[in-house]
Amino acid sequence: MKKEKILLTIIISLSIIFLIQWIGHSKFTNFFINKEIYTLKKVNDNKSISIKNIKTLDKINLIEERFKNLYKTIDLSTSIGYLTDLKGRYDSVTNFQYIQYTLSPAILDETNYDGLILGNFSDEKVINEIKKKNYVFCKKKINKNNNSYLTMDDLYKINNKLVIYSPKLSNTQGYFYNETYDCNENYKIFILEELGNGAVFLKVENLN
Amino acid sequence: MNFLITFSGLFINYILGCLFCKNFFFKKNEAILENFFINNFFGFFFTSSIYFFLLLTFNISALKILLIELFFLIIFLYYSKLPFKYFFLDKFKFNLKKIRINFFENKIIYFFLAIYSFIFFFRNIKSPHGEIDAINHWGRGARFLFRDSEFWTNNFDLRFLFQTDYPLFIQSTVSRIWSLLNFETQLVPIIIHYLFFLGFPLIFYKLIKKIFSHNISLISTLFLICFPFYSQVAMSHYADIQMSFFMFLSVFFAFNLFIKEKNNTNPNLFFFLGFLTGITTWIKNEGILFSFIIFLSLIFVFFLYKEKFFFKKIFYSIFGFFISFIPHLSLSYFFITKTQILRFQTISDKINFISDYQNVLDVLKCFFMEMIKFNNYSLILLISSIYFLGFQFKMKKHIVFIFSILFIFLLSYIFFYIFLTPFDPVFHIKTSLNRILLQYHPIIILAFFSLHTKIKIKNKF
Repeated sequence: MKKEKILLTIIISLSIIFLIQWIGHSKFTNFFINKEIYTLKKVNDNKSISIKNIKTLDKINLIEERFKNLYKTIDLSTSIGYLTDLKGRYDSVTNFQYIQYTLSPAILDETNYDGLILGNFSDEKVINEIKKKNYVFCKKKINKNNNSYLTMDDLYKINNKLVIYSPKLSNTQGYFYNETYDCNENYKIFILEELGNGAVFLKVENLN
Repeated sequence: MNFLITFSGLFINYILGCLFCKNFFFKKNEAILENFFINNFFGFFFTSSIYFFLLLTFNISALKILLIELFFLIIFLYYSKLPFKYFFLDKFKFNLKKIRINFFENKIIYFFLAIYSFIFFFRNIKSPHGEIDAINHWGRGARFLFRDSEFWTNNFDLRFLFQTDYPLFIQSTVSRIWSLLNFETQLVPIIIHYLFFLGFPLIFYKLIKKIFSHNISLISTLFLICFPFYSQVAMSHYADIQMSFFMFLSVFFAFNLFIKEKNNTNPNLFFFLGFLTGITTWIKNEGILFSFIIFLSLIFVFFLYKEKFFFKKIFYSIFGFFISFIPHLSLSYFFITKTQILRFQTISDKINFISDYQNVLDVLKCFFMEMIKFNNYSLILLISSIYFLGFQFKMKKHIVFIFSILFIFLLSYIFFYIFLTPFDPVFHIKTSLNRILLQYHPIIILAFFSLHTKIKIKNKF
């Protein structure tokens, strides 16, 4: 009986240590700590720490706001394409997944360049750059052997121009395949409708 | 009106669960709260399956759902009066006056559950949609089922990233309640996950207490809930808690059957065991592997102890399994999605991978390292606590059974990660093994404590 009580004490104290560690490292706690430092630095800033602001920590909430009810206006019988300028493997893939979730039951297919395409860009400036034709558009090609095209890492190295592309979704899954990009100057992007906050409907021409 | 329909829907869900369980796991007033949870969880299985079949056949409306479910309820009620003892196990009696809830029976468990509940709700204010995998697999699926009665099948045309071959237990349950409400709200998945998060430890505690001492059941439950990983999974809206619940229930049920030394266990009870294991296949695909593990262990134990009515018992359990496997089977039949294995690798790719023994060693190393790291080293603590408390190892049937489950589990998952996974095996182990271990964690706890304590002979089944 004594041994059981010792064991109970060990489990409870260990779990409390792990719990405190978890709370200490959580985004939630850091949100309030960082906010406090922020408000101390900017004394005149009247922004109060509100529980409503906590939602901004999770990107899905912002994307939900951005594309809410958009699925009602889309033709559900065909898939729609997807283009972005967001760099970084994680960021580009999770954004794609979040938008698919928000637009359900529409199908988002980043390899479809024929019909309507959704552009999810970082801000309005990107759309202005597209209007000025100041971009490089890179079409995704899935192939197993041909290495004549650019890889996604090559795309990230292009710093002097805005790169519009479809994210590579099989970064961890399809490790047998090479997903490459064809960055042809003849490809032209036409904006059809601006949805606000850097989101647009567009189409691509001169694909061949 | 919507709320009235929703309430009726929830009540039907509860009654369906009641009719099936009939206070089987706990006697009438032994554990009212736990019975409430168990009945609802079983109800979710029935109503989500019915909802899926309705989607296949009709345009859904809230009233249609209610009427069809009422129809099934009447059939259940009718057959429960007949002597089908293997399906309807006890008389259904529910008396509100007799309700007693022992809230303060164990303060430590309630203390931890209260802390984690507090974090649960704050976390769900921040992320009401759950974490990325939950959004991709379960949240998205629920939206497909609810938002369009014609194009919900688009769900199965999505690209590989979204794992469209996942069963629809969570998706269907959430979508059904949205259909009853006639609007979409994230409160529904949050409440469903919270019910499982709260209900499972309480049921676990009460069930363990049936066979072990109070202190051991308390320690076991603390092993389950104390480390943050359990609540992290529930807060992230993953289906692993649900999976873990039904897996534990079926293993516990079989464990109890084998505690009886005599060889006269009613074969009809094996039908129920098969049915319980089959439910896991409707929650996640791992359920198929789990059922396979259970059946292999059953056959092994039957052979070892020369069980009477061997074929009858195996047949009954497989028959029960196939009944609860029907929803999964029809999902795979109607919506054949290309399996990931076929999409991403050829046999020659896999042979190339395996032929380099260093790859296999890396996989094994990663597998065992992740096992040690699991749940902040709770597995190490569990093993050392048994050493600390002292072994009482005897080759008894129930101990052989539960350890054969764990042994086959280890072998089958090593085989899966080396030979079958379509992903990079090391990546796959790092992202999935902790959740699979969480599913087996209650079974591991039960197995380890079965080595230590004297088991009460008065088992309830």
